[in-house]
Amino acid sequence: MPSRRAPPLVIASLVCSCYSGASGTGEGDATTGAAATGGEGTGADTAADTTGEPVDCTSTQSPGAPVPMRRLTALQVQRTVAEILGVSTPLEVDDEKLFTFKSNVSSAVDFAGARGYLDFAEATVLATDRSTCAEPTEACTAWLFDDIGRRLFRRPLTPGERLGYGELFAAGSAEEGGGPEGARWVLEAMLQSPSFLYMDEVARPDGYLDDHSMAARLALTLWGANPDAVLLDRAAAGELSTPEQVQAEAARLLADPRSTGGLTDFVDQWLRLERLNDPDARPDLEALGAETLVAMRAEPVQLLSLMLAQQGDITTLFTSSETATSPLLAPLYGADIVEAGTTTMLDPTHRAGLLTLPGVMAALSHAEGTSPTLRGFNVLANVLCTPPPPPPPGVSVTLPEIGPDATTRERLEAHFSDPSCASCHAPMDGMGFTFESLDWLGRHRDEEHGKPIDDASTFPLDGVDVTVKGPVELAAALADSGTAPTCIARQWTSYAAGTPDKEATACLIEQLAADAREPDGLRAMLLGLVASDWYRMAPEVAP
Amino acid sequence: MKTPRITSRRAFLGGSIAAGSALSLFPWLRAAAAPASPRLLLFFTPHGTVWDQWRPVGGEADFALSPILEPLAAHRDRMVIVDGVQLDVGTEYYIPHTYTMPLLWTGSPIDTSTAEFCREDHGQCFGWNTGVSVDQFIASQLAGPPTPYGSIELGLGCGGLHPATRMIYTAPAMPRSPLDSPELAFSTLFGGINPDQLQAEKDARRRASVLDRVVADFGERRATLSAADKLRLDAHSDSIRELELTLTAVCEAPAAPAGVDSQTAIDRQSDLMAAALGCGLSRVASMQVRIADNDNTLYPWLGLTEGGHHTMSHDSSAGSQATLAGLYRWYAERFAYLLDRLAATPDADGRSVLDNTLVIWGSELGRAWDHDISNVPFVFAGATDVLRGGRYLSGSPIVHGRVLVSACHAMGLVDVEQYGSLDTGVGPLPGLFL
Repeated sequence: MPSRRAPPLVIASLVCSCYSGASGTGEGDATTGAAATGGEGTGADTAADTTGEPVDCTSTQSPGAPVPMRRLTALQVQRTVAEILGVSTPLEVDDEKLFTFKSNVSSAVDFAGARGYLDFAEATVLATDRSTCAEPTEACTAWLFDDIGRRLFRRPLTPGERLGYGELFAAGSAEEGGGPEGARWVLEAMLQSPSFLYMDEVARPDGYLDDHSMAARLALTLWGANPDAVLLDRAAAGELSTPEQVQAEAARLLADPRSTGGLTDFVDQWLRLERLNDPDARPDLEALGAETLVAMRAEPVQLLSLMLAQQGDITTLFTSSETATSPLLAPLYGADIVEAGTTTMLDPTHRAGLLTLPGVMAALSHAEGTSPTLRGFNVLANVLCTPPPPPPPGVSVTLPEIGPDATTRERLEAHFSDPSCASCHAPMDGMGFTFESLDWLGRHRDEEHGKPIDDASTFPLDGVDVTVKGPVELAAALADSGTAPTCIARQWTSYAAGTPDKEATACLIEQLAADAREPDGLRAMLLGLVASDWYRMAPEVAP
Repeated sequence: MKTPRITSRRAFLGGSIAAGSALSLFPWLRAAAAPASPRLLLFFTPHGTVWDQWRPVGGEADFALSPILEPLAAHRDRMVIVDGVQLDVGTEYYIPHTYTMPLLWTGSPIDTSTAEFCREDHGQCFGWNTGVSVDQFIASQLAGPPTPYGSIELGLGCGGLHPATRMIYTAPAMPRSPLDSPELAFSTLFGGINPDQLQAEKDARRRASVLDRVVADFGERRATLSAADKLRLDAHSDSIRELELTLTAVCEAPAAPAGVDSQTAIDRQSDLMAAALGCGLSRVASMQVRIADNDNTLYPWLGLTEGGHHTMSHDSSAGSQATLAGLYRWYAERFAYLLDRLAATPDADGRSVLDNTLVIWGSELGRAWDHDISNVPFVFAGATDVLRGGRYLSGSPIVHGRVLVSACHAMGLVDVEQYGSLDTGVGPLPGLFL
């Protein structure tokens, strides 16, 4: 058994609560499509989603994640090129959002995509310093092929590529402009090459990915960009072959500042922060200014990085009143900033962890109004992995008119009198009400329309009714819940593998969630996944 | 059903232009010298309509335009309003908005045998489309000299790749993305050519060599690929070849779009669409305004200031429905502006582009608040040689395939009798054509 887990007794005694098939994402099997013909899922009791059928876990072994060939996301391409060529250029090519996370596995590059890559390549290369190729020397060839080419393609160029790109260089050099023109032709082609744009994953005879494929996966997951030369050297030396080697290298990548890239892709998509930059949906946010919006959107990943640096466990993500905020956000925090130094201490009666950050609260609001529904839905979907079903067909969302001075909560509670609404909205909005002391920009507030904020609420959590007052108590309840760590381990697994987690990962995820509760557990969760079979093995390719 | 290749009823003058250096570099110029060709333009706005404000009052010819459609009055004589087209989702389960977007122009259901996409709240996974959208089918069948672009797709706010955000498909699981902003559309359609002829020829040489190398790299992959992944790479390689044809297409560029914002962007795309069709860049095109699942755009200038379009569309109260009717009237104004631009653009035959273009306006739903698809509003316009304008056609449920077959007939593919795997009828919409 190749599992790296040291204490087999712990594994043997672990019993997983595997989520039910009706809960959706987890069960989509790309080859059989078994989930697609299942029951409606509507009307399902959300509690059933969390109980499921228990499975005895004796190991975290699994097959390789069944992920098709991945095309890099636009951000992965841009980060990689910025690092390798030192040029930042816009890239207008769409990504697929299959589930929570972006993963380009199902469609092809069409005309608009091909044109987007062409424009990106031409603008980037025009701005690139190509003076190394002023003379067509060996230094130029080494730069183009052994340095830039290898880092773009995530492996050494094949003999065929060296020949073909050599001919392209010669043809370009024969034009006006000489060597730098030749380099321009070569770099434009490399930036549009499928060898750069797609992960090219090769399995060893034992089913695990070869070292270069492993290096690419690690860097794209943890940095959101291609491997650096050090990592490629390790791959060439065969030093990414065992789970211990992979985990040690992943620890290096995670400790590197470039891990901000990969962790941003994870946190940003997990928490739906793209809503902060959607002026059609949130025209009110533009008034904050572009820099403040960037700071709001960056703070959640900065908090994760801070908790990693402090060797935090998963509960600290929900409970920390220390953050790594930008001074630009001080006006939003107002009196909630207790002490500002290298990090910022926030009022622990108002703020706790990721969910109360201004960026998260603002993303889960409407223009100039909070949305307890959106907030409750996103806690249920993103933190507990139990999204409520959609409204039944034909229901009208008309809220009763109860006067202009009604609070957001009063307006929503008025429609709970309709039992068909209340069955889902009472638990969902009920959870959202606890955030009412944080407004649509994430600022603390004590009243709305002159009425005091009521942020005490009762709702089911892990199948039991709990009563909490305010977002800090909610965060504590989530930190204590059995479900949240499992859900976050699922989210990380789905992000890293590029495909929704499946039944086969249930035991792995329970192990990751258990590790995440220990000291330094966040790091253990992130690194535990990359050492797993699910991550290290190649998918079985359909004939 | 899919018919074999059909001979066009029109003749083309391929090869009659004297070959010069510009023509050898830009062979597509031949197409511009051909007589005006019939064209197709599909237009999409999301989330259906408000029926009591959309439905005209009166008979087939003596009707009064409704509040929503009133902005189209100037085009009444070259327009057919169709009331009664029914969509059949064709799957056991129905995720509203999402499942009808890939159905709208393909007439074929979304793929529920694969499961790339998952909706946790519905407990459902699904894949892409199963059919080819009718515009792409037509583009693949057209005879005559090739145009630089097989088809042109413009859009606004169409988001990332997802079945709920794409309506144009070249094959199963092969969406075709729109150029999603006027700036991008302008630079793509009109900005790729250096006005300096010598420099343009140098660029063309470089791009040809570079793209040849890129295509060669598709053969250098190490991984063992699945059949589906091979198809994806083949399609990418084909897209690069398609790109090469467009890179030498020279048009007299219209003015660059200026003052673009949410309120003006659709009209600026219409300007570019009219210029592109008038220049002969393509005979098949589409415009997509926003997405099917879910458009939560705010329209403050129309009083839609909170929640967003989709959220409000589920509110059946009179006040919200009135605001929505105002939005759909605003969409009609945008559609009218598109027709205005096409009518103001001269075509090769001395008439207008609109005279030679069938424009079809559709949506993924009939009525949003209860996700009804038993009646989805359609408007046909232009194509004055074939369309029997000035009509309001209403009927008992009209099978959606009639709309798609009508598009084929207007484009000369008169042997097509059915379109899409869900079509249960035959022929074009009765009463649509002269």
